[in-house]
Amino acid sequence: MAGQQTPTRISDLVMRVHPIPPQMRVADVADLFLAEACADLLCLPVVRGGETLGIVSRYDIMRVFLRQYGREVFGARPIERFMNPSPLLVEQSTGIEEASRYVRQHMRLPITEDFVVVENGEYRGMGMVTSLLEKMEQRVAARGQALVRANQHLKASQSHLVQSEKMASLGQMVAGVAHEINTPLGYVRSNVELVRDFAARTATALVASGNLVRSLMDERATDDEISQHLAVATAEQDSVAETGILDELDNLFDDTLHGLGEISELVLNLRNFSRLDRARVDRVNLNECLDSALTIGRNLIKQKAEVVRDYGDLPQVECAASQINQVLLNILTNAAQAIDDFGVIRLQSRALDEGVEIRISDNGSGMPETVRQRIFDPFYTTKPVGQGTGLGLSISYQIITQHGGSIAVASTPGAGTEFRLWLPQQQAATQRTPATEAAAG
Amino acid sequence: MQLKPTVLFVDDEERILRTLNLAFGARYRVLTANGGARALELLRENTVQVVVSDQRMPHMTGVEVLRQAREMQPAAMRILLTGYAELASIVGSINDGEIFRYVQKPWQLDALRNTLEEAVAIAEQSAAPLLKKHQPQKTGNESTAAPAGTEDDGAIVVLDQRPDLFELIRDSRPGRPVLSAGTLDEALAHMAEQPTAVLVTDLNLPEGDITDALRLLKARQPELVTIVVTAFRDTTHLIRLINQAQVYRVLPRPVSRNMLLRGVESALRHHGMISASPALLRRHRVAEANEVAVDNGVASRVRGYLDRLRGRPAPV
Repeated sequence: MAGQQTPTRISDLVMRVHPIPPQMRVADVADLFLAEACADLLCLPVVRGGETLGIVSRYDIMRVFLRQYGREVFGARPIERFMNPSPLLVEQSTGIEEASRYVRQHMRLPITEDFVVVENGEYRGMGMVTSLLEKMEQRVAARGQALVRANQHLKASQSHLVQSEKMASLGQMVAGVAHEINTPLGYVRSNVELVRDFAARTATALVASGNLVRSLMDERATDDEISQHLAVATAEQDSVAETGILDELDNLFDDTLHGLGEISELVLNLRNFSRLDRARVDRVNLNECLDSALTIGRNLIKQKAEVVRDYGDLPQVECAASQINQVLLNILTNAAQAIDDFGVIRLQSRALDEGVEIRISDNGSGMPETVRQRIFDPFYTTKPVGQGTGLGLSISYQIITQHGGSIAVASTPGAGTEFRLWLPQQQAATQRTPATEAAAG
Repeated sequence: MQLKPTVLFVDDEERILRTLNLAFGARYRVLTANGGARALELLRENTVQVVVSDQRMPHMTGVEVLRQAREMQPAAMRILLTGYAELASIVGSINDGEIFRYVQKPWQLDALRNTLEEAVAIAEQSAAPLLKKHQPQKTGNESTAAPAGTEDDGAIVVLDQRPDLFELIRDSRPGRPVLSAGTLDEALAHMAEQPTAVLVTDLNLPEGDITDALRLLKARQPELVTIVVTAFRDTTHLIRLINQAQVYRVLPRPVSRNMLLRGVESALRHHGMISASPALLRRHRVAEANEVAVDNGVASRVRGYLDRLRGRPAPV
């Protein structure tokens, strides 16, 4: 479509129609309309010395001839008495859009006339309303295509950003969980090494005691031999006792099993959190989602805040749980980051209006109104460059609204922030916009 | 009976404390603290040879515990035992904690035993001279007969492609030789000609990564104090700089003027102190590493320099 590069002017549409003089007889004009050359024309311009006097349409002629004896009575009269003396005039330098706007505003329906193209008031030719409209339609189509392209481009880069935000939060999550696993792994490994060492010493002591017992039972054994075995056995016994592990053996095993339990729980939690092995949309208890997000973020949260949980009895909520978990973790980590030294993060949940309300509040630094207003805007971040894409909360907002829920924030600088989210129990009949797909990835 | 050396473990997970207590209770007097506040309390009441702390704990980070331990008991060796290497904590443990080792969880019991043993031995040997340093007047006795006293005039060598660091340090230190080098070879040549107190270097040089060279230098010449300036942010790398090169400060690039000058100032003071006492030098002993792993080019160049150094007459 070449039309979109150079702005189309009306001069490009002009048809050099030979005008008729005002004195021409009606019957002759009618003959002209029947002629091959004028087959395409709705009307003919009436011009005298360059000045457009009016136009006469097929419709005008028809009206005359449809009267009784019309042709006989009026056929010899000059055309100027039957023409439209105030046709639509368009300067030929006019842009096509402006012309189209003007023509559309002033044209009469049904369309019986085209418009006259003039240059400084002087007749230049005729312009057809249909080709003007056609031209406009092409333009709109071209613009529409450009919009589609821009939209595709935007969507691609948005999903790219959503992806990188996901990778960033995934990285954060993996790092946190790695630390969480390394702690129990630390004492489990240490305990196992201690017990291995202990078992080796015990085995040696057992052999020594066995030797002693055998020599005691052996009639041929000399006192020397016996006392030697006794000395070795005693030394080995002491070596075992010295470790102090015998008394702690129960604790050691309890701790080790506890550590293995912790590790299994973390791994289970990771799976629950990401829901890789579940249906995308599921019925879940949001208290469990909160706990899952807490475990995943525990490493970061524990050094910044005490967590107070105030959970109510909740109905099951239909949602994409992995997305909701992402939202909860995002709000929780933001809360922890808003606390300077050590504070409190409070989690409340309750059933409300055919849905569930969750409140997450912290007593951290809070934010001024100007920040609060923009907090869900894409790319808005108060964190230093490189420490946040500014997409976390905007994606959270998208996820919650796509679930038909709501998310709001209240904050007082110096006192803290409260996020309040509500999710409906039931999803409205599966209406998934492309944006949901983008967020879901 | 001789008193057992004292080791303080700080971790918010009681099971970690329990297993460490069991592992080390037979050999050392073990103190345990489940958080920073308790650790500082114990440090006030006890003389401790080694402090081993976790990093991420509620209320107080491990780096903060170790920083305060350094002020309260400078003779105690400091070790960070942590489950997750995070850039800020590593840089903090170098610059604020001046730690001896950075150990990651889960640890190997044998390796931790060796590290602790080494740390305890060094702490016991260096406690006396370190305490002496903190007294106002010196008695000038036999053990501190090092060639250069605290009035050390060793050079500062700046190994960097760009001139800004060199110019900044040179202008701020009139009277102190400050030498600029663009390559490791140039730096080594400078150091062979002139006794060097402090080496300020970027990690990435035309020859590649300088960590191995630093490790070799530090192993053979422990009184050399190194400041690393880097835009590079790789945690494993920085951990190697602690454990294998005992780097004194790590400054992020672009470096702030004040931070750099304060770092140099403190490095010079540190050099004066450790070079006056061999026992203090041991506090910066680097961990053994596999020599074969070292790039031969770098290794042979550093060795060549060290050989030349050995042939040099001792400064008067």
